[in-house]
Amino acid sequence: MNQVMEFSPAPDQSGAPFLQARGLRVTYGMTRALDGVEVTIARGDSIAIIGSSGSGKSTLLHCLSGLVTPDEGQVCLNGRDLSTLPDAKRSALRRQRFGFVFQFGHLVPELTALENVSLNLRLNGTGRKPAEETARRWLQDLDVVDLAGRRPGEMSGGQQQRVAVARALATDPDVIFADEPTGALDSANGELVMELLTRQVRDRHCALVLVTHDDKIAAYAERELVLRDGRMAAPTTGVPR
Amino acid sequence: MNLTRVVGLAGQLALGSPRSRLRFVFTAAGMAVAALFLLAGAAVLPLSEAQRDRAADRSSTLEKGEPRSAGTLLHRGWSDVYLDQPLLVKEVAAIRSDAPPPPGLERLPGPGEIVVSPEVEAALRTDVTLRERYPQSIIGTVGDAGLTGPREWVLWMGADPAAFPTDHVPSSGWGAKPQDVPRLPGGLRLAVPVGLAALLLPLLALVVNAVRWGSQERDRRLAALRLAGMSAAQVRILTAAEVGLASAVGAVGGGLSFVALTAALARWLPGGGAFFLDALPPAPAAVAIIVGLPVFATLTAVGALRRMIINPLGVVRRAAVNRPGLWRLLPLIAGLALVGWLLLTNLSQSDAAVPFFLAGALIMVGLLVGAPVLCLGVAKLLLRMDRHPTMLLAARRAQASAGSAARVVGVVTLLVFAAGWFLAVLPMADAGNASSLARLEQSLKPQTMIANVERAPEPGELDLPGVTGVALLVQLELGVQGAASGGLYATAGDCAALSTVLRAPLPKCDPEVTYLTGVGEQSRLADGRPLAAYRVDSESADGLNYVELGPIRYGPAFERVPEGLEELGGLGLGIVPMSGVPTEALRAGQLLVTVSSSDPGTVERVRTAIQGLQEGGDREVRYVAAMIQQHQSVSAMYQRVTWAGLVLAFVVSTLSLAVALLDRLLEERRAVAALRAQGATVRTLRMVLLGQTAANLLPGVLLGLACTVPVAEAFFVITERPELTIPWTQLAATAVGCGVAALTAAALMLPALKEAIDPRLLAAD
Repeated sequence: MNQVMEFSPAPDQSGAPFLQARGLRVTYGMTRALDGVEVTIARGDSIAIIGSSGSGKSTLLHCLSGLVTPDEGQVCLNGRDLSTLPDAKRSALRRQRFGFVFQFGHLVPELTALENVSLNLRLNGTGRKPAEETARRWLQDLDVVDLAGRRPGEMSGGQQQRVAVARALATDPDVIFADEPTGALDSANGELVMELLTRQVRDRHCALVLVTHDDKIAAYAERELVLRDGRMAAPTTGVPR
Repeated sequence: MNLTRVVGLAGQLALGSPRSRLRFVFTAAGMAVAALFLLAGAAVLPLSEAQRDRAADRSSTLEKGEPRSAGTLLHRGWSDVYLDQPLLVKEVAAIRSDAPPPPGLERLPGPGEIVVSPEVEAALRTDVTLRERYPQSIIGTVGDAGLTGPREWVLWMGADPAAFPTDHVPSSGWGAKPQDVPRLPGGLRLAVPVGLAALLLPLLALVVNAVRWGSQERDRRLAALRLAGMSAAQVRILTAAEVGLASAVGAVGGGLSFVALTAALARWLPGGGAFFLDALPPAPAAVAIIVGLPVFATLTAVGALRRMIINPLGVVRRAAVNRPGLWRLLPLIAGLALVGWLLLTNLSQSDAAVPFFLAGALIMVGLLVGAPVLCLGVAKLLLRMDRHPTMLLAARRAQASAGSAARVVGVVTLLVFAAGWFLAVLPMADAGNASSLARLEQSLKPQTMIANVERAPEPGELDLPGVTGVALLVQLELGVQGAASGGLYATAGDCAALSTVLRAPLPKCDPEVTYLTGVGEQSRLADGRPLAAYRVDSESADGLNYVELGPIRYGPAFERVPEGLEELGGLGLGIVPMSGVPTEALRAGQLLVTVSSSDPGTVERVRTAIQGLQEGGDREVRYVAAMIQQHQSVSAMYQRVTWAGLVLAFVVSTLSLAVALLDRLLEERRAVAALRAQGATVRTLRMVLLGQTAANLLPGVLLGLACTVPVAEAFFVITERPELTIPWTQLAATAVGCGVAALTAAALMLPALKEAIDPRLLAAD
């Protein structure tokens, strides 16, 4: 029923940008959400996209992750333009290569924590038992294995977010996209989530694209990219720290 | 806060944004549909009664106790058919000059005159064949007072009093007394309210779902209002006003739609007749519906609000989610157990009636009340299976929505049970004479007409284009020769002539063999005594006095009527050579005429010629197929009313399900968008939604049908109808149809996924 579609990007060439966006333009109605944005991300990179509300941060993240096709410009993963891919392949890409952490977690409310974390693995064709074993390990790593049988409505915000991080990491992605992952958390929980997230990202050498308006959270990334009114307010490759 | 400000503010909130306008429209549309259906249901009985009253107004009467000499007119009527259009013919003859005209006529037509309804007048002006049948002079048009519907075909024909039998009872006026007006059959008077009640359940479910539409967004608005300084009570009043406003608009809209639709139907309904608008549902009923629905909706909304805590930080629902208890299955189990007991015991019909109806009621209540348990149980079963993530998602969503889905599922299950039950007992309506008429149709050639005639056609009189067969059946009264008594009836016909109208050729069609039939009569005539034809001469205190007309010549043996002709035999057919019947006994009875042409004009010309052989009040010339239809008309009416009610109720339930699904989909759109973002394909999401619907609904459909089986079997046993069987094919088709319809409704909501999976929903707040 759910074809396990493999996404096979062009072979990785060492040193070459892994994920690259050029000349992105996105318009919603009369509003120009992105205007000529360019960004390059290598494997293992961590970049924070900063800007005030309405600056286009989330739109850029959606374009980089293939959720939205830009009106102009390109987003290439290992040299392959994502906009040329059919929807099914882009879905496969997100399932297999990308992980997502949203502000409110957006866990499936009807599924338990274990089922939420194992869902993508199963959608990728992994059997139920191996998927749940993998999911359980991730919940263990994030110190929420006690919540495996609970539903999101039975967890605190911080607990939900940790489950969401486990979900994002369970498929061993190449890139994690995190959109205000600590926006709904208190500072203690927020720091805890970021510590866990960045450690896992570092250990697994996957890239992290972090959207935030909080400088403290942005400090967890190695580079930052500032957006203002849909335009770059900093050099295109991002300012290293 | 005064009422005007409340209503004004409610209107502002209701129409202030695109989403709130959509919610307003949805709520109003749900109310409009509910109002339309309820008004239509409430109109059925008054309209039918009004039509019958109008028909009764043109019945002639003689006051009780009045002598015959008080009568001023003679009146009889019959039903004619022209091009499949029923035509009511009323023949009237004035005895005295003060004979009153019937309703709708200015005066009684005299011999050679006719007064016709507007539709008949228009037809007579253009149709030559119809004019040949009714060549009399048109002296006027029947007014509305003389019609049951604006398009009815009625013809008043003037006649000479001598054309009526001498013993025909005269009349002195028009209009049957109320107690003499035949009311609708009791079954129909019960069927319509029951059908209305059955329709009410899904309509109320639709109303509740429409009111709850977009409730999550409204919750946020309520919290914002509290933050702005409104009290909890004021917020509740405002919400009630908003719902009340939308509901009132919808109910009024539904009422206006009903009026417009009725006006169109009054002129348009085929088959003639239709109805006059003055028979619409009485004002109190209409007002009760148009006022009652918004009140019900508002009370529903207020009731829902009572379970919530509305504070400035958000809205919290007070009640914890309760798992449905297994006690909900008790009525269903009890009902099925009672049915099982009825099947095992051998109670008489009268003794079994009460337990049977009790069992039926328990099962129906059980299907409604037990729906949440069923929904939850099926979801749990699917979870155990969990072969695929799509199944997992569908099962979990079905589990989470079991409580709210059960509202619709219970109603659908009940409707399916009613439909299955109806299918199972339907064959009973076809029993009896209808089946014998059907066998008659199988005996005669296609397009054979039957008419009662007063005289035999003259040679060549029916040699018309298209006529391929003519046969006359004569009625004989027989008795043993010399016994001076008859009492045995037979119908005889010419062998060769009958072969022209029968499908199968007659075996042994020769003068030496006689076929005589009639229940029980063979045994009385089997002793070989000579037979004679008799006629009743007079009636005395000692009984009937017969006159012997002459011997019947028959062959050496009585034989049964060959197979296939039993129905003609059932009418008392004896196939004897006409030369074997005394001339005086040849009293014409039934004429059979086969017409080979399907040209309507040819058929009507033949019908006109046949009517020339008729006298009196029985001048119908019908195809056998039409006779079957007419005989089944009452049962057909029950079937139509019941099926219409069931189908309508199912459509409304499906609409309600679609509304609930769409509402839930939009409420959870962020979660759905997140699933999409993580890589679930649109196809996967569609399958999840359809799977969720199927998981909730299909088991209910199957359970509803499954409950039909034992109940129907018990019914067959109790009523001693072993020949009736469960219509498995039709039940399966019903299950498939219901399932497909429900899934189609869910599928129609799938385009809303587009909005649900917009990635912009995932943007951080």
